[in-house]
Amino acid sequence: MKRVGVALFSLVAGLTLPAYAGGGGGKSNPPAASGSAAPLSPHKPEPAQSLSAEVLILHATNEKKGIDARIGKLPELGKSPFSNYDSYQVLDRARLPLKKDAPQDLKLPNGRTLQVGLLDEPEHDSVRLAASINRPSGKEFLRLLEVKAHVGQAFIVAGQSYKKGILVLVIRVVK
Amino acid sequence: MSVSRELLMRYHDGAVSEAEARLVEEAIESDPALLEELEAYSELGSFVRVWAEANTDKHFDIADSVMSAIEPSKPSPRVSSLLPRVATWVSLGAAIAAGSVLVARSWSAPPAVIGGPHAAGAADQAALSAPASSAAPEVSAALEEEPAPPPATIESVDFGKNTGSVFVVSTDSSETPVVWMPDDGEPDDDNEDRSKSL
Repeated sequence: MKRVGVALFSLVAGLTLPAYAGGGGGKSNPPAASGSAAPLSPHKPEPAQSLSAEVLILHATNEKKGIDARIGKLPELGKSPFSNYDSYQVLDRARLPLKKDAPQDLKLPNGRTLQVGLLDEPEHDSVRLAASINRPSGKEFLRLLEVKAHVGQAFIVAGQSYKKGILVLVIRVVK
Repeated sequence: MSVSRELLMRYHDGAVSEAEARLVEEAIESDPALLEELEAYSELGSFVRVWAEANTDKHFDIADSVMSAIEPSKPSPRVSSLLPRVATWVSLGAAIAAGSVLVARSWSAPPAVIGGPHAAGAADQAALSAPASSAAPEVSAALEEEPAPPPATIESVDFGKNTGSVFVVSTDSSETPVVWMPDDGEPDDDNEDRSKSL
């Protein structure tokens, strides 16, 4: 029994110690399943996965067309004031990489431009981002919106008139 | 005339020939001290006999003694039960599983979120927040135990010359901050209908 105990201790120690030697308690990412033959050291910091803002541009109307299946699960549309519209169609979907000092522009269906930029990353998988909407002339429509969100979280900018309805911009932080 | 002590003892034991017996008896007649010595042999014999009888009950056999000493340390018959082996392998499997879970968890678990609720800063700051939406990637049961990240927060909004409102839409699974900003009626400069180009 003594030998079994020693073997068990060695096995558990061998399995667990390398995981914690990585300094992390969960901060290190798993080795990528790449074709590289070189093993990844747990001490080697991996580049942080860049985050993006996924913008879903919806057109809300009362044309009795229902909700576009491409929208997926978005229970907010069933709540007021979104429930005032019975039809939601996906007009566009874009992914804007979030990079500091490099704001990204997205042309909206109404000719205006949505600009999204990264302010900073206060925590892991968390960003502070700035958004604004400008008219084609360059005049501001929404001067500035600053949001702090984690990966997977979304916020909505809605209300702009567009073709017998309004535009609903669902902006979500994604990896 | 004297006889040897050895002959006297054999005479006492009756292990002498007739000639030797006659010789001893003649010596005793001439020397009464030999008779006393002969009587002493008798007493000694009685003593030895009594001692032997007294120790007869305490029968000591070295073979039995050794065997009795060995008996307790004799290994018990080996029971060929499967239970100890099964328990050993179950323990080993559990240890491997626990180690694997720890390794996988340390590789994949995101760090715990640090920080409290967001403090309202500027006067126009709208402290609206929402938890992670339901569209977030599925997480394992182990990760679900970790505290949920603080909800999304609209830290500030500047409507400029326009008007708008900020509120939260709550659902069963999320609370999403919303900036509602209707058009102010001011037409865009080019006033072009771009919907046809989409």
